[in-house]
Amino acid sequence: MRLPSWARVVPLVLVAAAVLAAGCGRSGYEYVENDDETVFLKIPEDWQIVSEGNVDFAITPDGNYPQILPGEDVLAWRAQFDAAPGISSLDYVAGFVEVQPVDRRMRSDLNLASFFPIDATSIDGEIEVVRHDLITVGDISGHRIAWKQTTADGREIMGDRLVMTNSLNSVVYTVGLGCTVGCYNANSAEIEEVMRTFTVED
Amino acid sequence: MRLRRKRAESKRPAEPVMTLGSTTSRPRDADRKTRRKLDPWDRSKYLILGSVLFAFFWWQKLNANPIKSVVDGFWETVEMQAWVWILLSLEVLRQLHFVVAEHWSGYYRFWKFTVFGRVENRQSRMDPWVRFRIGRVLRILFWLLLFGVIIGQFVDKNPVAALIGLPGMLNSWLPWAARLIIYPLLLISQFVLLFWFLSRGGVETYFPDDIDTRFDDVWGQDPVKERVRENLIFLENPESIEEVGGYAPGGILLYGPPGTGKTLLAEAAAGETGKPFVFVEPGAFMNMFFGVGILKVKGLFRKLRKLALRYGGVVAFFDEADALGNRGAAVGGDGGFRSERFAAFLRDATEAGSSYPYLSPGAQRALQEAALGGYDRAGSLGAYGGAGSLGGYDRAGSLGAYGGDPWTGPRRESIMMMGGGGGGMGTLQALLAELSGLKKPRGFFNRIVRKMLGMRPKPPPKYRILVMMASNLPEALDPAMLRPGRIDRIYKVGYPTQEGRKRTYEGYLDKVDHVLTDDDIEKLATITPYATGATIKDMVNEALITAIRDGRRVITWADMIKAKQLKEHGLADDFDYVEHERHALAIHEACHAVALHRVSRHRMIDLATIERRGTVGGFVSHIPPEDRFTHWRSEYEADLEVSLASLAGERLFFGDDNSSGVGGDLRNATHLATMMAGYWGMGETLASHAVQRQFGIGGGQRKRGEDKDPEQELLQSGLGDQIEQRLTDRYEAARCLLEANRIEVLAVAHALETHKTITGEDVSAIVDRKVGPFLDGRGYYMSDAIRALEEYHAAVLELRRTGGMQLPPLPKISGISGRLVEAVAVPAPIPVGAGAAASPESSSSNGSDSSDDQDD
Repeated sequence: MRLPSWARVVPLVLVAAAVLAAGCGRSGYEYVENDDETVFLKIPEDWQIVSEGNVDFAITPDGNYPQILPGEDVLAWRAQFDAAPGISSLDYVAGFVEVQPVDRRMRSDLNLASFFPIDATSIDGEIEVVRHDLITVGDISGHRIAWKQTTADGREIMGDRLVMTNSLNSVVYTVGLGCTVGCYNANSAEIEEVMRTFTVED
Repeated sequence: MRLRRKRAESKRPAEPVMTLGSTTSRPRDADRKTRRKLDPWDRSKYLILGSVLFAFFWWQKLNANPIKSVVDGFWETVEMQAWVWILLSLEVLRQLHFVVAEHWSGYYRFWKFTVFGRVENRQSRMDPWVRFRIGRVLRILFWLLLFGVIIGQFVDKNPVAALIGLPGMLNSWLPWAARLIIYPLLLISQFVLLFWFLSRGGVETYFPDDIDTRFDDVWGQDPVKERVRENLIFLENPESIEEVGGYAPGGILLYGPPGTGKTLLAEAAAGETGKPFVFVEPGAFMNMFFGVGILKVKGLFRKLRKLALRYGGVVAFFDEADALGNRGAAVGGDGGFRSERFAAFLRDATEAGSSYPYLSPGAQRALQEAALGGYDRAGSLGAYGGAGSLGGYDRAGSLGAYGGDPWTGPRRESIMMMGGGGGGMGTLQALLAELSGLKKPRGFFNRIVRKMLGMRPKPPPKYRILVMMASNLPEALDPAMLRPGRIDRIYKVGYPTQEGRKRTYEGYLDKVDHVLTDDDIEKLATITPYATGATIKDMVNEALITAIRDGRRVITWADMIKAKQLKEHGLADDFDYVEHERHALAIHEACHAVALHRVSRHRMIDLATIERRGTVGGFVSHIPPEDRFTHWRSEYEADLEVSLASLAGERLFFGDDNSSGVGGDLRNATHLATMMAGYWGMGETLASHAVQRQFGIGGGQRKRGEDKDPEQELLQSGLGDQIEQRLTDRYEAARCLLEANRIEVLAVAHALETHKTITGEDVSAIVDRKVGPFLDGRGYYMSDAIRALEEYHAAVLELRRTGGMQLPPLPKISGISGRLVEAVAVPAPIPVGAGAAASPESSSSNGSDSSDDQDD
């Protein structure tokens, strides 16, 4: 029996693809993903995912379970990651990504500025905003703000946070990264890549 | 490198290729030096499958995460679906093993003999039962492991932990599982309910006190009655036969024409035994859905077994058992018909008078094959048995007039139309299995619990079930049903004998007031040769209605005769002929009547009439004086003469002129003459036309694609000349007879014109110049009467010649009894029981029998 040409080519192509992929090796990144909420993020593979999972918090006026509308079943979720090989330190990049449902009573006057510490009097020391971008990707829009802050012990640290919400203001997505200024500048390319790859799929 | 490969190929033994003229065979597997080469598809199919599976998982990874790179997706698939790689690697290894074995004989032999050979040797030493059990355990373990892997994937545990935790999981899933199960359960319960509902009905149970019918109530079927009684004795007391090594018959088939008392016999049997009687309606097994009939059969026999145990026996009666169908007919084609046809052949072949038993085995086999292949309507082994046997009855209903059992004709025609029937869809098979199935132990406790305890199940008790079936289409029954063990005894419930009819008349007449003497009743039995219990009952009832209509409660002889005429011939039309046409019709019928009386000793006249019924202007009906089985050439020739007497008489009395009313007579005569010459060995040649047609010899066979009528072709052959010659001879004989009986014809015609209908006995009285029951025949032969009859006839002739309209009045002939008019004339229209058709056995010689003929 003579096989059709495709039948002979397919295994060869697959084997070739496998060999090619093996030759190329990995991309050097790993993925933080929440399939349920379709939130994806890419971090360098030498960073550690410290924790990842659903958490019990939401944006509510009274601290109780959020009141949501029928059909909305968003669960609060958080993943934390750290570039430190051992104990976390300001000298290494650390960050988080969050998904938070918003109580329906708060959606009409949801203020994304409250998700940034830039006007927080509780934080000791001075704060200098070094970057502020308005970002819109499809249905999702928000702010990315990077700021410089001096801690009580006199160390200068950089914070970089992306806070976005959907058109209904029913979910808030947050990605935050931070470390000392020196560390931030040294890892700015990787931090930029992490922020760039943050994706919320419809 | 290239050289080395070439050398290796040259060393490899070439597999012989089969070519034209070559004598070498393809080598057996044991003779191979290397493994047979796999074709490319077998070599690559699992690799393709594994690759496709891997590609699917790869694609799934990329699809699930839009920022994932292709390379990362690949490696992630490799890590997470490692089993695909493992399987692919194993398959690659396997293929490598095959490739090496295909090229290296040492390697091939090592695996074949050293490795697999030892394993096989070890296995072959193992007990097959042990091997089977080990295999079974391994299979169970495999499926358990697979199940554990799947469950483990769901609960994120290893397979063993997943299996151990399964009971707990099931417990936690119980409410959810119950919800899931309830919907299918509802659906199933709907079907169960529907089938239960549909499997009800069609079966009625009568308990001993419900049935009053006894054998004394069955008249005219004494021989069958005795046989059925005998079966009941065995039902009541089976030990009487079992103690001497026999067994009680469990099935009886009663077959015969409708109305002969089959159902009554069964009912009487139930009444006599004092056992429950389960009546199964013919439509009981008709069902809309597959399986309902089977359920009904199983339910019925469960009930029968229960009743049999409780009452010590039960009678199950399947009325119209032919409704159960025939598996051969049900599967389509003519398988069923062939089997019925062959059954019919065997029955005819074994009939009394058949030459079949005297033939050599080879001749018998040839006839059997002919019966299966082409046993057509004229394959007349039973020709000796009369016209009603296979010889040509189905195309010639009128032949029933001349002889044979008239029931045979319609019965066989019905077979042609018989289909699979309502017993299809497995019902019949279920019934066959229940009638004589495996005698298996029954009951949950008996079969399961006893077995668990290590005890042997008890054999079933002997259920005393007498199955009685009644059918008027026995050939439509499945042959398997009729085999001994299911239906042990087959009885024909035929037409009652004359003595039986007399007893039946007496039985029904005893229930009413009447003045009939024993002689009258005997005469009634004689002139109703094919009357059944049902028709006799109906006739007596009709006579009673006639009496009540006349304000009486007592049935007279005249009432019985009126009832007989009404039932056999139906009501006459209220129609008055033109006088000269009435005379011509009377002459026509008188010629038939006189000829019949003079030449036909095997038939006696029942009545002669010129009263119009539908398209029949008049007729002379006749009946056999006794129950007959065989028919002779001389009798058929007499029949021909009687048929042709109308033509001869019309030409004799009307100056060689004749009416179109003789058309029917000529058709009957021609047909009869054809059958005599071609089928019944009553012609100048001996060969049977039926067989000649079958083998395509001589004229008369239809060729493929030709529309030519084979009978027409036949008549154009020498056989046609024979037929014409015979008809001419009989015509001349009839003419001579009528010339010699001219005054008798005129006398009978006068009686018919005067009274419209006269009895056969009065026809005989007129022709023989005697006194009949209602007419004095002697009065017609006085000189004045003869002159008056001739003058009246001459006046009609003159009228026909001149075209005038005025006839002299019908002459008054002295000596005619006045009782006739009231006694035999068919009564005025009555509101009930009108229109009964003439019975097939009382055939008629029609005068002007149809309007079509008159229009010819």
